[in-house]
Amino acid sequence: MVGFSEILSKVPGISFNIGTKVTNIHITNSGVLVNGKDQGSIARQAILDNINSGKDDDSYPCDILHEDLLGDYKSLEEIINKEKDLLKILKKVLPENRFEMILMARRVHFAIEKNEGSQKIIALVSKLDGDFPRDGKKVLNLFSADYFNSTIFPLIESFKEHDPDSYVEKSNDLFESILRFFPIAIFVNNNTSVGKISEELRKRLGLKKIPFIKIHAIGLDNISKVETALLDLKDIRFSIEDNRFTTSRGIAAQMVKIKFNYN
Amino acid sequence: MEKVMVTFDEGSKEDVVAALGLVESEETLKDSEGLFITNQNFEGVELKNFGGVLMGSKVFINNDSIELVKFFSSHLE
Repeated sequence: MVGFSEILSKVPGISFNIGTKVTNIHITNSGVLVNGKDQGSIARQAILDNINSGKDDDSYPCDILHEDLLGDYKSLEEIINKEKDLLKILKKVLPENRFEMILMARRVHFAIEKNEGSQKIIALVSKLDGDFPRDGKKVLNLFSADYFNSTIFPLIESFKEHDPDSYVEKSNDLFESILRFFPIAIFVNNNTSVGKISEELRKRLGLKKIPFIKIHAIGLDNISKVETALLDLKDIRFSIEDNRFTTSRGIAAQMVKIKFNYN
Repeated sequence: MEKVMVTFDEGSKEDVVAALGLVESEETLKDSEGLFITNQNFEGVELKNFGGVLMGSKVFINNDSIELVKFFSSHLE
């Protein structure tokens, strides 16, 4: 396949540095920017005339993308490049639509990590919720609480080590059960009331053989709500471990682990 | 290897679609052989939703982030 940049370099009227790693061509209504430099309407037409050049039966030689998708494209590309090994583990054990939900949730979480702006984040959360209304936000919460790294990946590795013949099935069951019952985590956000925290705690305390409950809260207001809800939890069957830390963005955070004393 | 990324704005979408050899037929786009183009779910792609096509693929996408997710997922080796 002939490289698109090679073809473009022979088009009269277009000048760009062929040695650069990525050549960004942005076509507008009246002109074209090549690596940020306006090349005018003649170059625009030359690029459009050659946009199909180099295409073979199987594929296009370059990405041709609506500008609205550029941010998502770059973020997903970075996520895949940096987390390919872990994502491949999930892709191997989960059905395609579940993996796509996880990748979409990771995209949303990435936007939060990179502080891409509240409007963009709200739009992405809405998109996630619209495409995966039952479990999308739960998966986002799992990322926020670092559950994939702390719980899901280690358990998948353990299944694989101890029972390689059925680890895919077990891993699948684990993921589905986490989503279905969501038993060991409570995520407190600005819309979660003290009453709601107490209610979620009572629900989980009624479950049989649950080893512990983790409550995650970010921000002083949310931490205060957790403290109030915990005042009701004075029972000798439980021990409470209250971990405080500061997030990478400098916000106060809390992870309370309530352990059950079965002895 | 050098990579080329072509982006287009909403105002130039029709020109890009035409340059790719696509024509609109009853809202859905057809290729030069008169076949309806489809996305990864084998659904027709309409001009108003056209999002482009990605390197290494001949499947067109809608202007929808979930279609990028599907592309990256299907190309995760």
